[in-house]
Amino acid sequence: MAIVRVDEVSRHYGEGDARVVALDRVSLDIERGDYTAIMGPSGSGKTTLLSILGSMNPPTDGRLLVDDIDVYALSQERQADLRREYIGFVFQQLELIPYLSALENVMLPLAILKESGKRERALDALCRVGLDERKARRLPSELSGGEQGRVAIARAVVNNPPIVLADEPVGSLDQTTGRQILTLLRELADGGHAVIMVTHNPESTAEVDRVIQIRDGRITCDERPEICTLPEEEGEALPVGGVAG
Amino acid sequence: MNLRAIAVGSLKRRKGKAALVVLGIAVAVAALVLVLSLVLSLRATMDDKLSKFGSNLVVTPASSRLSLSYGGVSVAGAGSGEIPYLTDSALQEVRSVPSAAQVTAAVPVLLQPVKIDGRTFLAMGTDVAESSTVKLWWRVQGRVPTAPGEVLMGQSVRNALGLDPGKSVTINGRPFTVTGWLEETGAEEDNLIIMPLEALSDLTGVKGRLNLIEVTAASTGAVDQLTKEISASVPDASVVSVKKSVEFTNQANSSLAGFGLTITLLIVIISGLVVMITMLTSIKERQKEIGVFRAVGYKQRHIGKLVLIEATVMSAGGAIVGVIVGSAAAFVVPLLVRSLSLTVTPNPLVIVAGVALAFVVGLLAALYPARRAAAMDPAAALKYI
Repeated sequence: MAIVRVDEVSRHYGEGDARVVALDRVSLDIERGDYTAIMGPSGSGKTTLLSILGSMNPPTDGRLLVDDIDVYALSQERQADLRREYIGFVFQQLELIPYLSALENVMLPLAILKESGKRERALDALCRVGLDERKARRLPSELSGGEQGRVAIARAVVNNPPIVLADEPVGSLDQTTGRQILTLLRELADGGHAVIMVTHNPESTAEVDRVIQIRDGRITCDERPEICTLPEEEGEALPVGGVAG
Repeated sequence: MNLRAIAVGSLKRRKGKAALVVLGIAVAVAALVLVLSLVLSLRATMDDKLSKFGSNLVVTPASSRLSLSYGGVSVAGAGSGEIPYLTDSALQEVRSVPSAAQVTAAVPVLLQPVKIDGRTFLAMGTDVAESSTVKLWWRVQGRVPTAPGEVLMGQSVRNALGLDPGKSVTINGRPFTVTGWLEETGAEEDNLIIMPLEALSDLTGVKGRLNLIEVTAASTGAVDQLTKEISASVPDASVVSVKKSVEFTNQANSSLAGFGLTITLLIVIISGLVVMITMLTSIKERQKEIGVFRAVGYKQRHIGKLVLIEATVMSAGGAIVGVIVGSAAAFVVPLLVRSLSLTVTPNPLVIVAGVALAFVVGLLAALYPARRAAAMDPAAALKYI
């Protein structure tokens, strides 16, 4: 069973003449262990799709099923629970909380839980991304870009969620650091997480299993990366491969 | 780590804004502490002065037939053929009520008509020394009587008889020495011949009896309780509070307190608005941060709680600063404005009120920002829309 099922999802903004169709009847399934890149030019709808997958942006039509749960049929409170249990986020600018140490940033999703062992779990997550206890005590501003990226990934997986969403995770990083982050995401997928990454950079798709291209709110390609790539940022040629809706 | 640690960390990060909120709350608290301290001290001082201004209570025999009048209170029975008196033990009973500590003075008074050269005057037998202590408006020319054969004249009596201190006067056929006279008071004392109680008792044969007892309470606030207790202890007496001084005191106190509290209320409202606007600005700046919290599973109530914890911490800071500054100001103001002639003493209730105000202002002002933060759309906060 797919961990994520997007079923005929549409998202419109505005009304009347100002109506903008961000997504138009998009459907897709994502399995555990999939490393998927969502690509497309600016304004194509890829970020909207990511926010809908993240249970933060209700679609105008259609359903999002996570582990067979109809996410947007849940109350706001339950959606928050679902985010915490099922979804880890890696944000575009990493969005580490500047006044919390690396360890505290990783503990952030656990802070609202009344359970013991939170510190140990956070330290373990940091260890998995290659950061030791000494680094854990530092503020984000005292870490390198790569280390900050690792902290962001550790925060995303500290709850061991089946889904990890990454929004342009290497967009603000140098090439070497970016490559390290992409490798870490690959390792997460190999470890059984469904990793979904939004990117506009074809180079970021080197290690992904699958590329979903979006244009004008519709999936134009859903294939292996070597088949389904955009020739350029605002590419004109459609790739070979399955074309959805 | 928990929400409290996150809130404290956030405050440390935004020291400037936190300091502004603490300052806003501290101003409100300091204003309240200052005004309340001054109002309470002024009230105590005024109470003290007014209490010394004369009796607050007059205990008379219970009777509906009144004709003789003194001190604005009629003495029962004169002119009706029979004058009712208080029992011998009444004075002791008044001095033994449960709230006796609140009784500054209990002065016995016997009023009797006397004859001088065929003319009738009203004589008052009393504890002249104690009476003169309580009645601060008495200006005695000469001295007050200390021996049974001595009298003090009211201004009108002195004018009528033309007697100066040292002269003799025959009252009801007995010789007395005039020790002094009272400068015009504009009250009943001007028409009295004042002498020791025992002397008037001997002179008139009315022994062991009293027409009234003048009671001075330690504070006007004790008048009602003393009235009740004396009424219960001396059942055949009528206890009348001298309303004028009590009402004047209360009115003056109320006006003063009202003025001070109105100013304080204005300061509190302005401070509350400053706190609320500062917190709203802070929330707006933290929009993305709140989006991250929501994305990692925080519920609306967690976000609201975070803001309220921050408000609580800042309120505590405002309470400490405000109480210290307000208390210091309350001690300094009387030193700077010597005409107030106030002595401010620390009042735990004022401090409690200040601390309570800090939390009320801080938390009320944080309610709206907390709601705004909690209701923030996480997708919009993270620029996903």
